[in-house]
Order: sequence, then C-alpha cells, then structure tokens
Amino acid sequence: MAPHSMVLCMVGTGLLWVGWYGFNAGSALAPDGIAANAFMATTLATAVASFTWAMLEYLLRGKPSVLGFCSGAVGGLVVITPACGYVDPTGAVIIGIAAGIVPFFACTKLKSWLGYDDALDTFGVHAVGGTLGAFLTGVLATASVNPNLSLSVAGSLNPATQNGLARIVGHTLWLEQLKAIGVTILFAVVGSAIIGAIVRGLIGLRIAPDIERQGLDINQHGEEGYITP
Amino acid sequence: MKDGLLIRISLFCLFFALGQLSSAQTSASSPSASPSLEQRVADLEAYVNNSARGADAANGQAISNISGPGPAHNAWMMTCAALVLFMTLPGLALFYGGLVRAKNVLSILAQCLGIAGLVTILWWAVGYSLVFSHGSPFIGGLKFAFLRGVDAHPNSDYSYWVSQNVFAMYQLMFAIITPALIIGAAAERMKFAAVLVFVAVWMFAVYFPIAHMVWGIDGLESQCKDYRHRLRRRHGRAHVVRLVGARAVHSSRASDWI
Repeated sequence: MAPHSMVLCMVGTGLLWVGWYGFNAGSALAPDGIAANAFMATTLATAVASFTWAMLEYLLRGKPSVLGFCSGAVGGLVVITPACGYVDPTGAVIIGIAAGIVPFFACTKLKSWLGYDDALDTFGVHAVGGTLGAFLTGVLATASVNPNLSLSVAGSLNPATQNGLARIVGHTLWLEQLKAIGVTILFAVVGSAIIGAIVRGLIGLRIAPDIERQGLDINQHGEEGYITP
Repeated sequence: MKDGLLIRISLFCLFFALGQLSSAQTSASSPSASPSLEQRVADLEAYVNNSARGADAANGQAISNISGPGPAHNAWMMTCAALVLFMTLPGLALFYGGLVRAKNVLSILAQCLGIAGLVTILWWAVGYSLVFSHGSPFIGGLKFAFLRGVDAHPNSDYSYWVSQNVFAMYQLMFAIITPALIIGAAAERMKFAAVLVFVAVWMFAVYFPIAHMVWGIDGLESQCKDYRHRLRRRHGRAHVVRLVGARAVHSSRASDWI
C-alpha cells in the first residue's frame, strides 16, 4: 500500500536522525571521547546508507525515491547503533554501505519471497538491520577507538579479559556476536508469540475486516486525520 | 592625642587579626574539616575523566567539596534524554504516520502517544526498579519502586556524575521507543486496546528482564565489575554479554525481532 504522505515520512525521518544522536552519543553516559566517536560514526553511516539505498533504486528501478532515502537513513541508524562506540571512520562507512544494501534486499526480495505481512517493513529494516549491525560490530570493532576494550588497562581486573569483548584482539568477536544474536532471536520470538497469543485470547488482536476497510481513525479514535470536503 | 588613639586602634586591630589567624590555624589543623588540596584536585580530575570521587571510593575520604552531580554530565544527559524522546514524539510517529494510508494516520499517532504515557507510568511504578535496582540475575528488585529515593544524587552503580533522576528519565526514553517500534509491524491492523495490553505485558515479560540482564548492576552480565565500562558497551544493542556458560545476548532492543 502506498504511503499517504511522503512529506510527513521525511519529516519523521529527519527527527529520528537528529534524536538518534541522543540515543547513540548519549549512551556513553558522559560527554566523553566515546560519545564523540559515536556521534561521528552515526553521522557517517547514516548518510552513506541513505545514499546507497537510493542509488540502488536508481540502478535497479531507474528512479531514486524519497522513501528510499528515508528507509536507507533509518536502516543506517539501526545498523550503526551497536557499533558506533567501537568502529573507526572506515568501519562506519563500510557499515553504512552494508546498511544500504542488505535491508534493501530484505524489504524488496525477502518479503515477497517469505510472504510475511509487515505493513511498514519493520522486519526488513529493524530485524534484518539490527542483526547485521550486531554481526558487523564483531567484525569491525577496534580497541583503538574504545580504550575500554584494550587488554592492557592498568588495574587488577580488566573486564575485557573476562567477557566476550576480549575476542576483539583475536578478531573472533563476531562469533560471540552470533551466539548473542541467537539468544536474542529465541527470546524475542518466543516471548512475543506467547504474548500475542494471550492478547488474542483475551480481547483479540486484529480489527474486523470492515473496520479495517473503513480505517482505524474514525472507528477507534473518533477522529479523522484530514477533513476532505 | 589623636595619634595615640590611632595607635591604640591599630594595635587592637593587629591583635584581633592575629587572634583570628591563630583560631583559623587551629580549625584548619583539626582533621576532616575540609579536604586537602590534593583531594580537591583529584576530585576535579575525576570529574573530567568520569571516574569516582575520593569520597565515593571504598576506602576514600568521606569529604569532598563537590557534593552533587557533575553539571556537564547532567546537561548532556538531559539533552540526550530529550533527543531520544524526540525520536518517538514526533519522529517515529510522523515516520510511520506518513507511511500508512490517510485513514489510519491518527491511529499511529495515538498509539505512539498512548505508549509514551503507558510506559512512563509503568516505569515510575516499578519499571525503573525492576531494571536498575539490585535483585536476581534476571530481574531487579523493588527498591526504587515509585522512584523512591531516586533524586539528584548520582547512583554510583551506573554513573559517578549523572544524577539518578536524570539517568532514570534517560533510560525511560529507551523504554518508550522500544515498544513504539513494534507497532510499525502491526500498523493498520491492530485494535488500540490490543496495542496497549500487548505493550503492557511485553514490558514485563521481555523488556524489563532483558534490560536488567544486560544493564542491571547484578544482571547476568555482572561478571564485569567495572560498571561504567559495561554501560559504555551498551552503545546500542550489540553487546556481547556473558551468560552462564553460554555467553551471549545481543543486548537487544528485542522489538527488532517483531
């Protein structure tokens, strides 16, 4: 179904991008060097992903769309988020390119191939993108960006020697990330399926077909977004 | 006569000043009245380096001239909290709202607004506590229920310089946008009441436990004793977390999977 307003969508994308600096750079919980790196990586990856997605459309369909720029930007933000405190500028740009390509094909090919219902491509952008980012963090993370990952930190206990992050040195962190991805998929899929079943049993999830045809606004909220004469 | 008076007054002043000086010296020499210059400088360095004040260290001096949170840290985290809220209201709302058909645009806006309110209430009541207070490896306790004791003093489990109330609000914004992302997959499909019920159950069943496991002070990941380090690793979601035996857990916005 066609979006009713790409103008609103573009405004929302811009606000998401701006707000995402609070999400990524703020996650250092201090205005420090890690926050600075996260700010840079977020900017680079998002811009590159947005451009890549639209240029792919240009190549494959002949026309770059605003929806493509917007989806690419959101995809870039999703994919760089796990990595922004760990990757250098080159890593951020590589992630941006991957974020423009992989979710693009997830939304255009995988969706029709698997035949799932996903109104706004949340699965294609967020699930596929989030997984890609978790994996690429393991591949591209470097201790030169985040001194917390260095094994030579002074002091008795360096946490990096005790958890998966130590694997960054042998470049096998991505294996740990794969395990983490597996656990998360399991937890989220099983949990959401159970909750969905409970809610369906209690009050029902889906609206009646005739109401869906009429629209949710007038039926569920008693308002209309746009009054047309 | 006039000179004599002047001399007497100045002598009096001199004695008075000496007396003051000596009393000041005795008070300065008494222990624990004020931190030494070294301690004060160390506190300032700790602020710049985002590490613990002397007063926060286990065997540290109990006195510091810096008693409250770090102003720059609070300023930064309040700004970032507002930015993350901005991602949901109106960022995500407009992004999703524009993508649906005109007859459903308000349903998206209403769902985003409804989630912001619902999750805030849950967060105030028990959510923050279940994620960030001490408890089991899988879920926190109720120490901070209704945000009891969550004030401007930093909670050194998570940050030495950010006020705990600012920290709680920053984390709230993540708790809001996570379920708000879910509705994109069910846009134009779900009843409003079903969205609210789903989100309320999902917060307790998925978000609070996973967030505690990953970010909580004694969550599953707590082999890592340097908590600031662990919080830094939360940069986004993909942090390798050590489970018992099987390490793992992408620290997940689990909504990405829905």
